Amino acid sequence: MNFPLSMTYWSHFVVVAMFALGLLGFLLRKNTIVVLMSIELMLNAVNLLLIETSMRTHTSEGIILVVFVVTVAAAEVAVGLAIVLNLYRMKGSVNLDHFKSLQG
Amino acid sequence: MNTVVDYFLIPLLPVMAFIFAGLLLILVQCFKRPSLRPFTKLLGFLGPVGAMGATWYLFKSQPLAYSTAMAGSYEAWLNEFIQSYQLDSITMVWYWAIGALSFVSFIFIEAYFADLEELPEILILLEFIAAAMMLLISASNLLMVFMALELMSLPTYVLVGIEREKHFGAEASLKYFLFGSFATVLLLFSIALLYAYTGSLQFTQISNFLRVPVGGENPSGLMVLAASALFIISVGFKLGMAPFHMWLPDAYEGASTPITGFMGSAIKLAGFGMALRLWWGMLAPISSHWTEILGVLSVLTMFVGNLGALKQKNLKRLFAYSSISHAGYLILGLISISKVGSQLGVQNLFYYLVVYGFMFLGIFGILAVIEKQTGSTDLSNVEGIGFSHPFLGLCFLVLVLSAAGIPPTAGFLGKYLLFADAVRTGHTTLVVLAVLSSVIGVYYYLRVLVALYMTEPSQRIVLTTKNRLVFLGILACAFCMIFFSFFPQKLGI
Repeated sequence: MNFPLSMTYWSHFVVVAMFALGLLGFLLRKNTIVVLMSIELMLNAVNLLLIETSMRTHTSEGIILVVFVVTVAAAEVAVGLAIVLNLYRMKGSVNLDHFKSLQG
Repeated sequence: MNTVVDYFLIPLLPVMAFIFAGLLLILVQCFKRPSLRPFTKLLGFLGPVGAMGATWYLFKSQPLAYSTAMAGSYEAWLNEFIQSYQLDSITMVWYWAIGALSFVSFIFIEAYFADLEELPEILILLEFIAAAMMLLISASNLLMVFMALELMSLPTYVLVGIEREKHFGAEASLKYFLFGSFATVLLLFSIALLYAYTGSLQFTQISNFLRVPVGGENPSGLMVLAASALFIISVGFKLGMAPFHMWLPDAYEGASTPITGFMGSAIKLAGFGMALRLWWGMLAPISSHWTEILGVLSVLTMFVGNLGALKQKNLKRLFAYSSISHAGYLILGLISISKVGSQLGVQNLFYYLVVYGFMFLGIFGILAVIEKQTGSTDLSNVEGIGFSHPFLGLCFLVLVLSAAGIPPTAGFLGKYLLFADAVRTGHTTLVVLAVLSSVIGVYYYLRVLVALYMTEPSQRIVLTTKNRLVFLGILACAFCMIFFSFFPQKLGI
C-alpha cells in the first residue's frame, strides 16, 4: 500500500497538537489527576507518531514499541494513582499547591 | 553447543541472578510466615552476590561466544536479542560495580528497615531495579532502553514513598514520579522522532543513517535537532542536571536515608551508562549539536549544586546538592570522551562514577545510622561525633574529604583525571570554571568537618546498631576511597 504524503503531513500535525496540549496540561494544571491524564495524552501522541512512521516506512519496530508503551503506561498510572491516593489519605487533597512541605 | 545457551542464557547471567533472586523472594513472601524472615534477609543478598559471581565467570570465560554472534543467522527472536543487547569488556566492569554497590546498599537497607514489615517487598523492588540497571547499560536498541529505564524508574518511585505514614516521603515520591514520568515521555518522543527520521530503533543503524543520510536528507534538519534537544532534556532530568534538577533535592531528602544512598550511587551509575550509550553510541555523528550545550549545562550544574549546598542545615539535603555538583563534573567527563580516544575517556568516567558511588553510599550509610538513633539528620546531630565515636568520625572524614577532592583520597584523583581529559579535548574554559566551583564546594564540606571535630556537642548521643555488618559496609566504603587512590589500576586506569 502506498502511503500518501498528505497523510504524513496531517498525522504529524495531530501528533504535535496532541503533544502540545498534554505539555500545557502538565505544566499548567494543579490537579494531580489531570496532570496524570496529560502525561497519558503525551504518550498517546507519541504512539500516533510511531504508528504513522511504521506504516510509512513498512517496518514493524514502531508497532512493537507501541504495544510496550501502552503496557508501561498502564503500569505507570497504577503506580501514580497509588502515590496520589496515599497523599490524599494524609492531606485530604490532590491539589499540587498543597504539597509544599519540602522546600529550600 | 546450543545457540540458545551460548547467545542468550550465558550473556544474561548477571541480570538473571537479580531477577531469579527477586522471583524467589516473591515466592517466599507468599507463605507469609514470620519465621521465614531471617531467610528472606539472607535471600536478598543472593542477587548482588550471584550477579558479581556471574560477571566474574563471564570475565574468566573470555573470549565469549556472544561477542562473535552474528545477527541474522539464528531464530528470529534470538536475532532480535543479539541486536538489542551488547556485552563487551567495558559493560562487564560496570556490571561488577552495580553488583558491589547494590551489595553494600542492601546491608544498609536491611539494617535500617529491620523492624519494618515491608522489608521483603523493598528487597524485591531493589532486585528488579538492579536487573534493569544492567539491561540499561548494555542496551543497544531504543526499545530496550525504554523498557529498562521504565523497569528501573517505576519501582524507584514506590521505594521513595515506601514509609507510607511519613508525609515527606509521600510528597517526595509524587514529585519524583511526576518529573520522572515527564522525562520518560520526552525521551519517548525523541525516540519516536529519531524513528520517524531514520526508520530504525537500532543504535548502529541510526548512527549510520545520521552519518550518511539515505536519499540526501539533511542531518541537521528540524526533526534531528528536536530529537537531540529532547534527549538532553530527558536524560538531564534523569541525571539531575541543572536546570532540570529541581526534583532531586526534594526526592533525596524525602526518601528514607539508605534508599537515597542507593538512588544516588547505583542509579546514577546506570543513568550515566545510558547517557554514554545514547550519546556516544548513537548520536556521535551529530556530536557538534550537543557537546557545546552539555558543556555549558555541566558548569551550570556544578554551580547550582555547590551554591545550593552552602545554606543547607540538613545533611541529607546538603549531600543531595553535592550530588548535583558531582553530576556536573561527570557530564564534563562525558563530553570530553570523544577526541581523547574513547576507551581512555570511558575508563576515567567509570573511575569517577565508582568512587563517587561508594563515597555517596558511605556517607548515607553513616547518616542512616545517625538518623535511626536521633530521628533527624540535622548538622547539629553530628557535632562532636569525631571524638565520641572515633571510628564513625574517621570514616565520615575520609568520605567527606573524598567528596571535596582533597589529595590523598580517590575523589581527588577522579576529578583530576576528568579535568585532564577535558583540557586535552579543548574545554579549558569549562575546566577553569569547574575548578572554581569545586573551591566553593570545599566550604560546605569543611563545615561538616568542623561540626564533626571542632564543635562541642549540644547533647550526648550514643550511636549503635544491632547489625554489625553496617559498620563493615561503612568501613568498606571509606577503605575504597583510600585504596582506589593508590591502586587506580584496579579500576582499569
